[in-house]
Amino acid sequence: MLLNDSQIFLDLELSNRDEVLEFISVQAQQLGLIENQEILLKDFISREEQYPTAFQEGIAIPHAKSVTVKKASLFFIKTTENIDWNSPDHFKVKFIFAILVPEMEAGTKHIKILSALAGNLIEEQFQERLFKVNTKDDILNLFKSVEMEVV
Amino acid sequence: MKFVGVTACIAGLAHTPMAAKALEKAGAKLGHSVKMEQQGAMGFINDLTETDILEADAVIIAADKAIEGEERFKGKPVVRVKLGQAVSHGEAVIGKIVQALEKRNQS
Repeated sequence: MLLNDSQIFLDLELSNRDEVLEFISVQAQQLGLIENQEILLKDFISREEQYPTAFQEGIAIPHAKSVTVKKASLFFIKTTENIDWNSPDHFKVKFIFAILVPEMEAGTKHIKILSALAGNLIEEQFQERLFKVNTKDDILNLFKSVEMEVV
Repeated sequence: MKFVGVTACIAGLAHTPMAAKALEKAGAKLGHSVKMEQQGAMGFINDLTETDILEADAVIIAADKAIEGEERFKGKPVVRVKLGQAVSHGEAVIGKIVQALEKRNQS
C-alpha cells in the first residue's frame, strides 16, 4: 500500500515549505518507512532547490528518491492556508502529495502508480476532484481511481 | 504542425510524465500534434518511431539530464525547453515554438 489513513493529514496549520517537508519526514520516521528523517529532509530540500515541485497554483509534489527510504510510499497533506513554496512562479499551495521512493527502485508497479498520479495531477478534471476533498476517504478514493488505471 | 520529443527528469517518476502530458495536452488544445517519449523510471514509454520522427516539423526536448537516442533527431530542428516550463506553461512553450518555426519558414 502506497497510501493509507496514517499518511493523510487534513487541515494542518503549517506556514511554509520547509515546515511541510519536516512534518512529513518526522511522520515517515515514526511510521518506520525511512531510516533517517534528517536525510530525508535534506533530500527533499535538495530536490526543491534544483527544481521547485509546486508546478501550478495550489499543488506541490515534493519527492525524494533516497537511500533512506525503505519502502515506496505516499503522503497527502492539505493545509489550512495557501502557503508559499519558493517556486519561480510564486505558486502558493494547499494540496501536497509527497512521494518517497527507495534509491534503487525503478520499473515497479509502485513507480508506475506514482507516475500515473503525477500525470493525473495536471488534468483539470482530476484537479477539480482534488480541490474538493474534505475527508481521508475522499483522498483514498481519488487515489484508488489512479491505481485502477495502472492495474 | 507536428512535434515529437523526449521528456526526462532526474528521479524519472514525476516530471517526466507530467511534462509529456502537459505538452501533448497543450498541442491538442492549440491544434498541433505532439507525441512525447518518456524516458523515466519505467523505462521508455510512448516510444517514438522512425516515422514519427520523419514526419515531425520539430523535436522538443524537455529534460534536466542527458537523454538517450538523441542521434535519432539529426537533421531536425531541435528545441530544448526547461522541464518546469513544460509542466507549468505547456501552451506558452508550444505557442513559442510554433511562432519561431513559422518565422523561420517564411524567411
